[in-house]
Amino acid sequence: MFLPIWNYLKGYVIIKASGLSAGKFINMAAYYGVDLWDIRNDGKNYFIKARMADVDELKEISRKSGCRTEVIKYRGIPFLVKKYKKRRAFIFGCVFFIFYICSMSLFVWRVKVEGNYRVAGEDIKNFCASQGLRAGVLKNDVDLNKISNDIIAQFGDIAWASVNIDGSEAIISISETIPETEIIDNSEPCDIISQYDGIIESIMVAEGTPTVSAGDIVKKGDMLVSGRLSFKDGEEEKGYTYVKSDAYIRARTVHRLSFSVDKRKNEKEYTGNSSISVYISLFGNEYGFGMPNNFENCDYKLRNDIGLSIGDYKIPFGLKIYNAEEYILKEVLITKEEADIMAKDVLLTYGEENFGFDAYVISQDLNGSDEGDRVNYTAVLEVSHKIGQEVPCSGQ
Amino acid sequence: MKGIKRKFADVFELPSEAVYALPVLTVTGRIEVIVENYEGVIEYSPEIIRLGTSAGTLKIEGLEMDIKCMNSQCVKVTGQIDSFFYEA
Repeated sequence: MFLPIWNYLKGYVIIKASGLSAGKFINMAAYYGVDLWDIRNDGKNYFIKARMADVDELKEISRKSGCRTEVIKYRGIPFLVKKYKKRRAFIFGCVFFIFYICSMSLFVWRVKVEGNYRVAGEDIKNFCASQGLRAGVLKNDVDLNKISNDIIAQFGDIAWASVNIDGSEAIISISETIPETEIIDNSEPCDIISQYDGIIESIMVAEGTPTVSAGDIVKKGDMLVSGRLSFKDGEEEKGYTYVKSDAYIRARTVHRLSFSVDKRKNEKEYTGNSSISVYISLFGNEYGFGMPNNFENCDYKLRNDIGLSIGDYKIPFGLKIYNAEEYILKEVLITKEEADIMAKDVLLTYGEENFGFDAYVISQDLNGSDEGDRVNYTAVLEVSHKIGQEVPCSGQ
Repeated sequence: MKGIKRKFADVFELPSEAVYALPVLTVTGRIEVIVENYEGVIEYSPEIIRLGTSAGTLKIEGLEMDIKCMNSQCVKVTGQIDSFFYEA
């Protein structure tokens, strides 16, 4: 393997030997110590490879042997150099390319965060940028250990952090802490009472004595679970204690709402007139080159954003093309049907917004009266949701 | 003289190819033959290659044979080698 590489580096030629004394030529060349290789015979001519340095000797041998020889090809680095010597721009381009690759490799061009679930990756990146690790910095200027320690100190939810640079990418690997479990203070006994009037749908008690069951009608303030636990031997109460009541109670409650929907709406009517503005962004500033428009109202829509970046590093030069479309604002009135749809959307989210994520509307009765520029609605909603409010034990 | 040479080589257990300049053939399967201590190429074609040696004319027969490399000490023949023998 090395010999062909060496021959290519030094340069070699392919010689065509023809005539009756071609064999004599080859034998004489071998006898005089000239290395030949890849000798092929096509029936009429011999094709031989020999080193560039032996060409003069081979010419002499050719003359002595009376063989007709001709150099048909030149191979190797010396001939490549000669061929491209005059192409200065090409050589400059090659040198510049090598220099460019080597110099760009000295910088960090992308920052990546791995292993995060609760902590936002952008927050970690922004913090690292403030500590000196961001796209466009020299790799040697980054203290990886210090940044790892700073990340752990800054973010309480991160138990371990490691920063490594792989090529031109900085990889921040983190391991988050286990989320804190809620510590429930069981020292203060309490009862659970109802905040609303309603019908109990289900009751699951973990601590305490239930005083209602599914299907019972309760009013606001009624006790649902008592914190008093009694110990009975048959029917006789032997003792009691007070505990912090804990239960999951669902009930159906009825709510009446009144609200109104404004039928007036500002609508954009595009006139069809538009103009184009070109902005050059340079180091964060934008310089516009567009036709000024005298539109009273217009929408600026970004048509093209031409920018270059290397990894995460955005090159501070770009081109933005905006399209300004003129419109006129017109006040229109929506129909009663459209207003009804908007009202139903309000009711749809009422349960979740007021009673928690597990609440839902069972049924609704919506009535609206059209007042011209608005519709007044009254609604009766039946909502299923969690009820129960903790209060200090009554008997304690 | 030859007898003295032979005795000298036998007594000191010298390699005979170095003492007698005999050809040394190294055959790799049917694809390659390296011949050391040869004297010259007599005939060369893709089917027949004849080499001159001190032990006689070595004839190599085969198909699509090439001389891969050649210098004053050895010659390497590659291709599909069917047979090789010394001609009288």
